[in-house]
Amino acid sequence: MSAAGARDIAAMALRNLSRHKAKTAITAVAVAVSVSLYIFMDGWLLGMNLDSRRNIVSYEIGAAKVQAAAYFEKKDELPMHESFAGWKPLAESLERAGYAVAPRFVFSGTLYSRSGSAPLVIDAVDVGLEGRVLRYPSSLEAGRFPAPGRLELAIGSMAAEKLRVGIPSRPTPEELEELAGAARDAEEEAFVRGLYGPAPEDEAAAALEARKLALKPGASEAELARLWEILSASGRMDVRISTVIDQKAEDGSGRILHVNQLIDASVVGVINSPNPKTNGNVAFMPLDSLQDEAGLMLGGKVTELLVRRSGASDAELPGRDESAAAVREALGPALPPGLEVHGWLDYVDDYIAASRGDQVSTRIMILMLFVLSFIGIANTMLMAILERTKETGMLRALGMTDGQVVAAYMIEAACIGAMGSLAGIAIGCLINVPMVAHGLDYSAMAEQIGGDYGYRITALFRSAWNPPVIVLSGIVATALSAAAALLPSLRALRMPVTESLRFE
Amino acid sequence: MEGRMEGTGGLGALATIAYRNIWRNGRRTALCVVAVAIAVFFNIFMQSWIDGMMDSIEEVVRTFETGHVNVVSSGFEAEREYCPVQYPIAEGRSADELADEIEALPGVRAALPRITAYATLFDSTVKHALLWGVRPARELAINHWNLTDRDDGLVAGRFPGEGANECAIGAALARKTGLGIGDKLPLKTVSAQFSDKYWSPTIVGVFEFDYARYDEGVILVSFERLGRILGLGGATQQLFVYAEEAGRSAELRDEVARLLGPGHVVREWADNYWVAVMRQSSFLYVIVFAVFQVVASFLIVNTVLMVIHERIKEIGMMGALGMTRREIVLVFFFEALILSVIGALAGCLLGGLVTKVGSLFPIDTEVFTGGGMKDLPFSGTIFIAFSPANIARGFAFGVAVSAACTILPSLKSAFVEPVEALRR
Amino acid sequence: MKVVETAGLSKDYSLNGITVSALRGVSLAFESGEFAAVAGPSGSGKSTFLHLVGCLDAPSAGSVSIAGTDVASLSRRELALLRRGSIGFVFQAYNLIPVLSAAENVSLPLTLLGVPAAEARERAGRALEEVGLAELGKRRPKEMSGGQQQRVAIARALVKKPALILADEPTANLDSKTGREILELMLALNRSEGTTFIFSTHDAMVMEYARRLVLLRDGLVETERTR
Repeated sequence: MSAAGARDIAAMALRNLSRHKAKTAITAVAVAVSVSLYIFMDGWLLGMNLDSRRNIVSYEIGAAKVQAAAYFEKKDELPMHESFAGWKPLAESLERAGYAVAPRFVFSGTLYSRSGSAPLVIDAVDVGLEGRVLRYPSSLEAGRFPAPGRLELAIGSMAAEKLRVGIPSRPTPEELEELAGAARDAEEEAFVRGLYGPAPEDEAAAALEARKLALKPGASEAELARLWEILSASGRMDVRISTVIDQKAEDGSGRILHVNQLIDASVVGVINSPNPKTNGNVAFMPLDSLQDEAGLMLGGKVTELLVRRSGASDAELPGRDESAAAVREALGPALPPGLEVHGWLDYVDDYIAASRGDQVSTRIMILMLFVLSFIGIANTMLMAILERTKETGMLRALGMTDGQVVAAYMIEAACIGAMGSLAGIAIGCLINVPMVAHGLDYSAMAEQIGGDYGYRITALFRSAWNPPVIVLSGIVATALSAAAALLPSLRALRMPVTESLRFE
Repeated sequence: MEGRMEGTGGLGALATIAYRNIWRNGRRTALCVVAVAIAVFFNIFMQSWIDGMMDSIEEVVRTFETGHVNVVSSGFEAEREYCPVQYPIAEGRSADELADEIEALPGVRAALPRITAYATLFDSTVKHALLWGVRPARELAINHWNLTDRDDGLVAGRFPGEGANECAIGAALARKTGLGIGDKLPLKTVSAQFSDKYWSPTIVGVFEFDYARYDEGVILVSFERLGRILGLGGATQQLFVYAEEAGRSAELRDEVARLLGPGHVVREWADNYWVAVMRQSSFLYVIVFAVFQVVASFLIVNTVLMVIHERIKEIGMMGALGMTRREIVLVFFFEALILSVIGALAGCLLGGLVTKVGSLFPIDTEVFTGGGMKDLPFSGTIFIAFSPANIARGFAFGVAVSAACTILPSLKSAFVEPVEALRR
Repeated sequence: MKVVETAGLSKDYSLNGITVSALRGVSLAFESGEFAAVAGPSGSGKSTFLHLVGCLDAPSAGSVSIAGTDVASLSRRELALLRRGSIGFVFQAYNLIPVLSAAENVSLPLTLLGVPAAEARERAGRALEEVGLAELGKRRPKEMSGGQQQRVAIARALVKKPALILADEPTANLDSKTGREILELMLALNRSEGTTFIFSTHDAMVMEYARRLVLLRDGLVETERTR
């Protein structure tokens, strides 16, 4: 086909489109709906997953963990007896290979505050090293991170609120009385009361149907520190951890010995990071404070080492050099038998399941919409081709080849698809703009469920831009549209020219 | 002019013409029908899936979280997260007295006292669990505890006897602790007087409720025994009221609240956060369904537009025969309506078949929780709901949306001038 | 009695901004029982005249009275009802409803008038008999020849016993033998039933059948003769 011929065919296809403007428009709208919804859903899922993944890596796990094989097998049960000693040489060889390493001893227990108790997972961490791998130590809502060597806790904000430790940001009037009761003199009481004012009337408060007060937004760091000190002096921050130390018997029988333990500690900080897992029923303690009989009798043992490339950017997900295999290779013979390296994805089954479930269900949904749009175009083209049977016969009589006839109809259908795609991309992007900038507020649900819903996003579910998918969805929709014209046009070509000419 | 011109005897004739017109282009009709059917099928299937999840949540909530009507004291409500035991209902009155009084209300099947308290476990790799003080015999007369198998959920042994120093534990808890029937389970809990209470009941049974929260972390004990240990003096922490008809829960809630007076929080099961969230989000699904149905209706809209164009001469002839504009519009509208009815019927058939088959196969919720989301109240297995009401609703919704979408294009036929049409 | 009476009937069309006058003041009257042809070359205005008389279109000037009623005062709906009750049409291209069988096509006008189904069926059967197609009632238009289709169209026009049947070039699509048959049929019906027929044509053979012949040229009556 010559260039001029192709141009003429395209021009004819375009003009044919304007024959039934309403029909063309409606068909294009169907395509636009599918394309825009696809772009919206994809951006939404991508946003949630990107944020979740970044937050898992930066606030929860790092790139990989070194753990005992036996621990990894039962990791959901936090088997503290499957810990290992001698982590320092491992850390050193990883440091030399350019990794940042943080040791941890994870255990669970019940935390008793003055007003209640709650089961908690406690991460005993190396205060100096933790911040090199994870970011939550600097995500403090109030107070400070525990100091090395002391029985201090930083506690997740949701647990802090439940257990009434820390500084409440939205207390009820009754709670404010309790806070004011902590004051040692009248001046302090006035100071405490002065920090709280009526909560701004917002939907969240209205939904809770509770009169609430709020911490004044202008409160300075110094004022908050003083409030913390006053509350702390009243004993509000004193807590007791009740747990059982599980240790393997020294005799090698595999028997597990249990030692019931109570640890008195004080809460010095409240964590509120973008990863809800750090804000739920979780507390962080200095690892070195738990080594002896007053702690967990660890004797230098840890349950895991968190590994991340040193100086890795928070925005980046772990690269190939941070994979379990790369870490294993960096350790080489230094990795003792019985220990394993696992990548971060091995630890987030709940996230993966939630994410995969959503990916599959929404994509099936949108796929069905695409099918509907495709049927729509097929229907439109079927009618267009049928209506023009006589014309097609004439064009063929004039010497148009079969290829040219098919091309003309496919271009026509592709044009409908392209119009719909362009409109869909425009609408999808328009929806995406506020979704990326503001997102949707899910904080009420996050609170109800204690931060345990798979995704690692605290309150705002935000979309992300995904240019390849935006472009590709348009191209695919256009190509599918063109394909919809193939069968009916081939069918029209099966009719002998003479018969087409007589067709009514 | 004759007098009978206004007769409606023509409606059948119009419908006949409309119906026959559908078969003039089989492929086009097939595409329209398929599109509507897909949308209707999708709606029915999605709705059944959501209903399956809702049913599971509602049933779990009714069985384990609230009953039909849930009674607690205001003090308990304020600190609900850590299951305080120092705020019994109607302090000073025994649980039995209260239960009798509530059961005397008309329409009440049972008022069951329950106590929930945190326990710290000793000598165990599992550090904490929830003590659940109930009266198994009375409970099981009202509820199934295993909602999947619809039975008591016991997999070994028996439930603890009334007042006995015994307990039953969840299968997952038994596996994790390595304990079994006959073993002691040493634990500590805090009484209503804030003193530590050490207790070591003997395990007499292992249960599997197929509800992860309970299977992994609940120690089922006798209500009497737990109340005594916690120093409740015969009072109860919570009352689960079950009505003769779940639908009357709201009324019953008000009656119970009146009976107990101030200082109590009386809730209906539908007030539960998850039940409310699921119900509120249903309007979102209606929007999604509507989008599907409208996109499918576009095909019919296009078909109507094309058909009017194709049959312009026939419209002229109909006008010449003396058909009014309303009658002509009706011919085209009926045609669109019949298309959507056939499509919706096909969708209902497929939807009914698939949901019926789907409802026979259990779906493991682990697939989308990955072992997390333990606070979501649904059991480990859910079933797609097969519901004729959903199918009927899917049909009505499909036909209604398509009909609404096709009114406008059908009206186009009214603007065809017969004389113009005849001249073509 | 005058079935149709027109006075100064004119019709202008606007085609791409140019006004074309199809009729320029035609005043004619047709008595009940007439068998009249409106003849003339293509573009003489004969189709326009039939459309105006059939109340399918409104005149630019002048008036049309059907059975003494001036149709200018009637609403669209009333016009439709007037056509439904009093006027039958036969077209050059037959214009049967393709999805209805011959019998159904014929009974449709009765159904629209609210005639009970059984009676409508029976009357449609008789009408088909009169046009000689008693056997073909179940056939769809596509399954019939042109002449047969035109007979069905005539039966459809006839069945409601209208005051007037308008036939626009009823034989133009037919060969001359079939054309004659159709004209003989119309004439016979005119004689036996007393139905008024006005038909348009440009065919000299057809004109011969007319008892009254009106020749139109450029929208005006050129000659008129009665046999």
